[in-house]
Amino acid sequence: MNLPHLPTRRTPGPEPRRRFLGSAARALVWVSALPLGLGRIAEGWAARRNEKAFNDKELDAALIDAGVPDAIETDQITLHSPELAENGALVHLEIESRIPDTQSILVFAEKNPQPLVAQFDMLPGLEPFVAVRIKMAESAFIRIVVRAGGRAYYMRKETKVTEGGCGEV
Amino acid sequence: MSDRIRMRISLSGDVATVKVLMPHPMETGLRKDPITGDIVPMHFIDHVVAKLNGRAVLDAQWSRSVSKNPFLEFRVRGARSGDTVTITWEDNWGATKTGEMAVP
Repeated sequence: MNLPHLPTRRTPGPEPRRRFLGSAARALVWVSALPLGLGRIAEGWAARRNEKAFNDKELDAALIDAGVPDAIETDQITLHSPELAENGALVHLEIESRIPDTQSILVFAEKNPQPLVAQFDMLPGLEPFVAVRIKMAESAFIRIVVRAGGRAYYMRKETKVTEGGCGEV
Repeated sequence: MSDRIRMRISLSGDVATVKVLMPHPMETGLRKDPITGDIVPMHFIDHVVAKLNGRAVLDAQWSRSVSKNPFLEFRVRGARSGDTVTITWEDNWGATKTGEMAVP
């Protein structure tokens, strides 16, 4: 897949280098901001965003790079998603975990060009629930992985897509 | 369309349900402009932070596979009427936007 050269504030250049330098620059900004207690949204960003996992083109690689290759299948995660989505550009997901100490919810569209769609880190006070709308390139399983108490759990459910949503708006 | 973040908050007990709409093109970099035929550059929100009274409660990292004009819903405990919910997003071009709303 060839992606066009992108205008960006962070760093010019080809994508991997751009993102790497961008992360490095952010890390620097973050570290230098620490003593002053500064850092707004960028606070901790470079440390948390797993660029490699987001860039992976195969599900197995994305699961490994996200650190959840050995997730245990569970029925303690609920995913409300359409069985049939006419428009792959707009697939509504509602995700709820009943696993104690849920820390992160990861969403994978298994056949998207880059399967990792989103990671939600739940900080203290947040209920283990999130709803979001995603694009799906084609009919595929959606895999939800939950990190909780030092372990990883998953469930997956198929959504059939009439018209893929990646080349569309 | 205004790109202002829009929010709807409802309070049940001490749990606030927050629904957010973030106007943004969320371009995948795979779409062609229907008129010029040129590829539309990749442009998407890659990071969202939600705060309650200034304390981060949700930190989301996104790919370009989140839908155009992203919708996000979450629930936060310990909320009271008058508390402030703040949403900030950042995209892959480095732009950011913040919106806030009081819990009703």
